[in-house]
Amino acid sequence: MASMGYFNVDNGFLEAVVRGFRSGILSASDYANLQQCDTVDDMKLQLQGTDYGNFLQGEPSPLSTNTLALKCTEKLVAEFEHLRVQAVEPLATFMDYVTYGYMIDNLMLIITGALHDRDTNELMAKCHPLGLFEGLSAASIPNTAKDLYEMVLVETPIGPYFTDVLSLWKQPQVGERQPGVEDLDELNIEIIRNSLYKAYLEDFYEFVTTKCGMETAEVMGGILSLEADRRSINITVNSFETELSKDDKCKLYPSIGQLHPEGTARLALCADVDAVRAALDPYQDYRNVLAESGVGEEKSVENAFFELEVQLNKDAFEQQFHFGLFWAYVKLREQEVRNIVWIAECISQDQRSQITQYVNIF
Amino acid sequence: MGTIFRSEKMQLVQMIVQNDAAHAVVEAFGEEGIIEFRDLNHGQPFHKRAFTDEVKRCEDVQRKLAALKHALEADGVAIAEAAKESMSAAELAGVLAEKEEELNHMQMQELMLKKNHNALLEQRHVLELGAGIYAAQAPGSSMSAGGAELEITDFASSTATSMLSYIAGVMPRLSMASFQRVIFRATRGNAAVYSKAIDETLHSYDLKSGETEAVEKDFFMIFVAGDVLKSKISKIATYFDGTLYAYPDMAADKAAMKREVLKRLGESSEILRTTAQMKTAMLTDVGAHFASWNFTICKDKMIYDTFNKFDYDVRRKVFVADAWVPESKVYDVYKTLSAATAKAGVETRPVLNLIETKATPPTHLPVDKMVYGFQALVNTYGTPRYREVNAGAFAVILFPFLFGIMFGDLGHGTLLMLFGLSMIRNEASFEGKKLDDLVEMCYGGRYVIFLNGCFGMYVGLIYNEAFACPMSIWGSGYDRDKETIIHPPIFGVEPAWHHATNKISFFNSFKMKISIIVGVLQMTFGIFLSLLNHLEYRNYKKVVFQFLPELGFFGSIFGYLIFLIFYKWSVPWVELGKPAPSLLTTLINMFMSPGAVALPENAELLLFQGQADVEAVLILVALVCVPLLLFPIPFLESCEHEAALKKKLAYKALEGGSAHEEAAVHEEGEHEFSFGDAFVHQAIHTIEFVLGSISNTASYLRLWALSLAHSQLSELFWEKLLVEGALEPKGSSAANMIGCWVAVIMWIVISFMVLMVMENLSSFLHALRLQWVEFQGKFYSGDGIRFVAFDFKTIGEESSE
Repeated sequence: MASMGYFNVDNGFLEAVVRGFRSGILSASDYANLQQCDTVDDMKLQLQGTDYGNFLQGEPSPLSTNTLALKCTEKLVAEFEHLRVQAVEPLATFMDYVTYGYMIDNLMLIITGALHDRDTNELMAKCHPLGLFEGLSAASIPNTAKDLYEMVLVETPIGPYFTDVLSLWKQPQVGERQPGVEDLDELNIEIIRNSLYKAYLEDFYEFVTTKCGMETAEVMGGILSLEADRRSINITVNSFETELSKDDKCKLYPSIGQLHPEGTARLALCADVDAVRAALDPYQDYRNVLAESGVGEEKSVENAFFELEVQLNKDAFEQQFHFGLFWAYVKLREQEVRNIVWIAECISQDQRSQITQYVNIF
Repeated sequence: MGTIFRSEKMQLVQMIVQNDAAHAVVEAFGEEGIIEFRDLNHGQPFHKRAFTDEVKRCEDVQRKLAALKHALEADGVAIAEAAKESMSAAELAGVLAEKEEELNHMQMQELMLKKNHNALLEQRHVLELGAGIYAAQAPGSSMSAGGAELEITDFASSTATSMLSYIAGVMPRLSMASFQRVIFRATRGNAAVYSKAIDETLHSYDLKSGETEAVEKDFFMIFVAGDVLKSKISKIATYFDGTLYAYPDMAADKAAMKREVLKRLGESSEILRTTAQMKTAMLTDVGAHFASWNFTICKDKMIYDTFNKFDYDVRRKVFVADAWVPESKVYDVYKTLSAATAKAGVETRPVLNLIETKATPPTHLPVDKMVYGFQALVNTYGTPRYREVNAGAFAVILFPFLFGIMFGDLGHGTLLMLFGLSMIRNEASFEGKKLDDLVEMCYGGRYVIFLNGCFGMYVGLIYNEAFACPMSIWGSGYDRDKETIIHPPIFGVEPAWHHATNKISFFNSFKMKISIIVGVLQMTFGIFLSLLNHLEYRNYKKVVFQFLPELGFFGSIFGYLIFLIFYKWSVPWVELGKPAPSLLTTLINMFMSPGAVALPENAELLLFQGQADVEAVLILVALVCVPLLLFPIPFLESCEHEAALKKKLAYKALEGGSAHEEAAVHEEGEHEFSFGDAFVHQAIHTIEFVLGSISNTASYLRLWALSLAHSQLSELFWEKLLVEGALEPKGSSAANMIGCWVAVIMWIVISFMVLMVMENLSSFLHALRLQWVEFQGKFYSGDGIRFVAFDFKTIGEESSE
């Protein structure tokens, strides 16, 4: 109760701002208008009538989908920075936590790129601007996980999560160090990604449940649980044809979420999509996620999760006095950018039949 | 009063012109600026319209122009005044594309050169700063001294290279610390990093985006063992935005390199200078034409935007345009139209139809610069309805008068008038410039300020006050020694009142009554203006059942009050030997106990003979007027509506319409009529008027209150600061003299801040309220749509907004 009384002292203004931003999120009628456009330039005109305003002014025609995506994301980042610089503790830390996820993604992008000998500067341009950190570009140099940690990550906020990653390899082989095991190959990168995420989600969960008050814990708990469950399911589905053992999988499943521990234990045993479906059957929320899609239709599984996520994030706006709004806002805007880009791609590639497959928000 | 009294009569015209002449015709109308085109494609989204592509092309050219303007501003090249240039928009687009290309090319080249120059500068710093560090680090060098140093260094480095290699370079200062940490971790501490700040501000260039950024940079030199580590460190350095530079081992090489670098630096700055000159020359050329180019493009865009409003069909070979034109200009429109089509070389004569329509025409009120400020005050409340009496016309005098009553002081009024006058005199220096908000507001209302000042002076003369000082210009008509009146005051208030002991109560009574008189007169005037509106709209039922009852009600109560005020003034109560009855009591008794004044015990309250009878009649009139105002109009409207509906249905029946046509008839009607709505509307109006007439009259008392506050405040400052602080003799010590100065300055500053700024603003605000609510509420609907002429002259204004 105390948090309700004092919430507005520190965070009332930012909550108001974020709610104002929220009303700028494109509505169903905006999307309907966007779909009517014949070219991406028409979309620009259409978007001028929304909160996006003149963000594309000064861009020469014809407009590419990439510029559109870039500019939309820039706007999101500008808004996020605007909120972040005014935030006070613990909201400031909370918002930092929001960026850690992007940092992990960026890091993985760089490492994977380096593995395939891509140009690092090119990769840097593709990184999400929310997840940039000092030394990120240097992440392409090290060849082993340990080097990566010691050279680049030890100072960064996601450094502590990496210790968990390192322990993955250390425990099975006490003492002797086998050459090659820690090398950054494709499988290891996936393992690193997933265990980083696991550590991140668990840490974030810990943070929201202990330091941000009851309301935040309630809202963010739900959101993070979904995030964790999504990762568990993805890990399972993606690991069918790999040499990942059951124990290894168990180590990658986040220890939060609805599926933990019982569901994850079942998931670990699955060897094909049908088994996963069976394992998820007791969970009402996820029952339909896989049921609709055939095997291999990645896109719709993803979309189904996006829809669940959007729903949760929308619900976050129904409550007050919590930080979940800030997370929800970023995620909804991100979804909106994905939608805009999807529509733009469909228009520019003349795939109008697919155009409706975006996730409606409001 | 001409056109300012009512908006101009408008005519809807339809033009049918061959497509080939379209551009010429619209351009001609844009030059004339007399018509407003109607949007015939209402509701159609912008990108579905016929000329979207052309508009977008214009926008693209505008973007190029903006880029050029940016370059002009960055280079500090002035933009010349617009000159007439006969270049069509299409040609211009080509020229601009060329210019943009040229500029981009030049900028790119300049950037490359600058980058090169910067690299040379950095190399020079590396050579200079490196010498110190290298010498200090090489073994043995610290022992040597003077000229021997070089040799030993060379010797040391040649042996050291076998095991120790080094890297030298330049890096932004911000990344330096984390770079060093990463190096330390990457080499596990097996590297010696030395860095030194570079004093000169260097730049970093982004060739892709063309951005230049001034950065403070550090020089660094790293010594490591082994080539593997060296290549690793070089990689890391590049990731931290560092640039590596060569640093030769041998002293001789170094000296040679330094000479080379210096030579090339000289060359490069020479090239940079010539490039900059070329660029400036090109930009000056652009700057000379920029304004006219901008005008041409804006014009073209306006033309295509207008095309989008037309009913334009490529297959039909003609376009149809609807436009509003002031009736007096219809012939001009026809002339322009034929001239433009003739000029375009089209054989078919254009067609101009005058269309009868039920649509509400826009309100066209051409104002001159004097009325502009007042009209703006009125338009803030609402643009006048088409052909309605324009409240702005009366605001020109009534508003300053109300202001003057509150701001009545000759001194303050003169200051304000002079302020307004100075702005009017210096119009030339203000006009056409971008002013900041406050100045622009004052400038826009310069005539308002001027007239406010004039009326402040006028009322100040009546009050006989200047800076709270009593004045006696025409001499007093009162002999203070004999305490007798010699003659009535010649102009304004008798100056002797200012020295009387009951000064305040006299001025209170006087100003209060004046306020009521002014208020009731102004509101009565407003009611009469509503009569003009009813007559203009031929709404005779409103003349009988709205204007007359309103006048009756208002006149019988407040007109009677005015009569009482003058009557009370005119009777010499002292000579009659009886106390003057209170008007407030009289008015209350008139309603609470009608006829009671006639009773003998109330003889003291009686003002004149037959008062009871007169009051009884007046009450009766007022009471009758209320239901007269409330009931007839809704019933009459309902009857009219029924009749019209029957008529329409009869026509439909003649044409053989079926039952469902009735719905169509309803749709055709401008809006659905509902008796309930009409009645509620009229009831609200009645209640508002009846209650409002009392509260509005009371509201005019603010004239008294503000006038009182103004004179009391200025008197306070005068007495307490100037008279007591400075003017009263207190000896001639130095402290007193300084005190005098302080008091005078304080009086000036406080008078200015409180009276000239705060009091001025509050008087303005209250006058505005009286104008808007009390006066305009009586007759003004203010729901018109402003006439916006299609005029190329608006181009500059638009871009500045």
